[in-house]
Amino acid sequence: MATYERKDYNYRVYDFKSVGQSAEAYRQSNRLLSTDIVKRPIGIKTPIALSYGNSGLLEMHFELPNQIRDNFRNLLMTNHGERIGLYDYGANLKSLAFELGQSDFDEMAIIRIKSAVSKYMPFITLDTFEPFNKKEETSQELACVGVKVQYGVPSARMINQQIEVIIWAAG
Amino acid sequence: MAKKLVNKSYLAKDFISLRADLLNYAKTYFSEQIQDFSEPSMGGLLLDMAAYVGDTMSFYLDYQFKELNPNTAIEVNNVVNHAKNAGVPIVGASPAVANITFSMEVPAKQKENGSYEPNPEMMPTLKALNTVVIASNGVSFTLDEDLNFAEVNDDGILLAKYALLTNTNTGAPATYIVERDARCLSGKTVRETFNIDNVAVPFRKITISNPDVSNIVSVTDTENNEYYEVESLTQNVVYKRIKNFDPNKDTVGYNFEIMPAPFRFVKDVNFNTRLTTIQFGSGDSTALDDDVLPDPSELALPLYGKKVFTRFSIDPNALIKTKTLGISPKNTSIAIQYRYGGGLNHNVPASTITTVDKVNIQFPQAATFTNPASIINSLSVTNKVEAAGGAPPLTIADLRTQIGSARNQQSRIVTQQDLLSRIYTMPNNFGRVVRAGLRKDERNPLATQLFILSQDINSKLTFAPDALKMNLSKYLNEFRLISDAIDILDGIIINYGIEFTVIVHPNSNKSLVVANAISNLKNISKLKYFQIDQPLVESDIINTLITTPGVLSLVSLAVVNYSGGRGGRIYSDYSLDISKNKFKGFYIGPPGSIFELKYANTDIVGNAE
Repeated sequence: MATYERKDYNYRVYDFKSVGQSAEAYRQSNRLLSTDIVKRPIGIKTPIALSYGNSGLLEMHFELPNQIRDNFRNLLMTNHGERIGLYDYGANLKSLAFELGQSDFDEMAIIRIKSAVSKYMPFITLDTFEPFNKKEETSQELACVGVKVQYGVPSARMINQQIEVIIWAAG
Repeated sequence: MAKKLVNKSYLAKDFISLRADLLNYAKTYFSEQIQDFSEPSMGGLLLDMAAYVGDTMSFYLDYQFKELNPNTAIEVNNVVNHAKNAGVPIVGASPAVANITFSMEVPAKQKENGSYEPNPEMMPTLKALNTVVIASNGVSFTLDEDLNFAEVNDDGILLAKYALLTNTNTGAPATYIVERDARCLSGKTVRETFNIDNVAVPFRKITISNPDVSNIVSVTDTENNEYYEVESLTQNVVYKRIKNFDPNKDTVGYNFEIMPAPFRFVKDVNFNTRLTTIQFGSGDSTALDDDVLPDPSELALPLYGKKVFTRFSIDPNALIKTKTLGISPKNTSIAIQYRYGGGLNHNVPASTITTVDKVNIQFPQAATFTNPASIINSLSVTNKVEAAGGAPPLTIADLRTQIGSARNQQSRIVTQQDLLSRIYTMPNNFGRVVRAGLRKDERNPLATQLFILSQDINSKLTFAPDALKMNLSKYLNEFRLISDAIDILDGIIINYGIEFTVIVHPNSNKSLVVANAISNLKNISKLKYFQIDQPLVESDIINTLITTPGVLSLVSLAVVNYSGGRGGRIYSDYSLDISKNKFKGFYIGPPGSIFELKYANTDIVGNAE
């Protein structure tokens, strides 16, 4: 580092042009650059599970599509009043399960999903909605209905994504 | 280890701002571990939960802070506690007061001068508490104090009104209808007994079974000890009223006595249930260690193992306190007589209290009866005016309103306003001071001269009787600062008259204009507008005269002093040349004086030109 002393003042002046890196810092930066892109954790994976890998205490998502899918699934499966602090969070589909078999079930479900997505995940583009029955899991006492949603996230270059949720209902 | 400094903000209070702060914090310090804090993500969920906890704590912090202020407190118990701290008494529904006329038929008796009057030996006394009348809506009214039909004034004249009812065959009066008014309070008076076991329980509490207790008449135990109600258990004396038999008993019905009250209790009313609980002291009368009455000499500090002692603080009330704070009863039976009930429906209309429910009559010992039952059966009652004062229980809003004013209350006389308030609020049974004035004593810087005046039966100012001064002295002595001296003196009554001449408009009736002018002067000269040491303002008189319709101008005006006897009227003996005591339009009397237009009908003389 070059320095020179001014005669008229009693202090030093440093020249930025001569500022470099220490040898250790140089080695560290080279090592990082030389490896593949390090994927940083994006969010906590649900259901929550302890991690035994390299993602820290909990299992984490490292891919954006997975994180969005996870969030979307949670949005679809959450009902109003279940999220603390955000009463209207969720697609609120469970209450529709009691109206299973009614003609306007599909219409109501579509409206609710679209409303929830437009508020909490507006970056998702909803493509198709497909209700289905899982007869093998339907008993006399407890019925269930499935909802299959096809979606995309243009900003993340995700297209033709599909997600299924099952809604259990009293028969 | 040095404390790690973290950039924290304490400005956030609500959910949104707390979440925003937490999000900023997480992104700053944990961006390497987690990036997604959007609402649908688990990270967002954790932020929401933390913000929710903060929001809840913030809410309750605000809530608790608001509960500290009686004006913003919401919880009933907190408002009630504020009220108690401020000295606001918690009461239930209030009873109504009715002025009830009791009348009965009494045999006539011929006096020595040959005239007739109701036979005083046949006129009974109605005993308080045991004489109950009922209104048409079923509300009971109880006689508040004994009512003696035979009571006479200082001149020996019956206080009761009477009128001839029947004559004998010879035409002589046979019976009279005699009536007296008495104050009755609504509500029922009952007696409730509580058995107390043989265990010393400090500060024992007893809850009375009926709500809205308006008055605890008496609390006695089987040993005939009477327990007195006090404001706090540290008060160890009470005032007791003693019937005044002096000639001035018309003005001062009772005299004060201050008596120790080792048997005492305080009462507390539950705001929600309106039930009254009385609490006794902690002392055991059978224990030798407990002083029922305090011995000040025992307060000396022991100097164990020391040769010096420092300045120490002391509560002056300690001198009148005992360790016991009153006796706690045990192994006895407590009888509580009390009156309960009240409300708006107790304000019954006039002439609706007509039924005698029960009556306790005591005839004079000298009575010789031929048919006492006829006298008793002839008793009838009515209320000429409606009952008033009944009120529903206090609401929370009522309590809040009263707390502010109650904070100014104190039980010591410090300022002149304190002293005047104490004088005017002394119970009327001990004599009534209608005017009181204060002046500094020029000879004694620690003394205050207190001038007082009373009213006679005709509502004219008169000197306060000595018994009233004695009562006032005992009463004030309990509240005054020990270094203060109060000289209770008679006020000076200056009776005056007004003489005026006015020019009346030619189109007006002179007599009528003068009559109106005199009437207007009467109005401004009423006693209620005058206080001790208040000057008489000439401009007020002039203004009243010239603003009377029909008066064109004021020719002459004179304010004159009347004293002694004058035309059969008796004035104050104090003589003052009022015209010589005029200063810048004010007629100023001597210290402690008050101007009184005693006979308004004759003391204002007007002429018209």
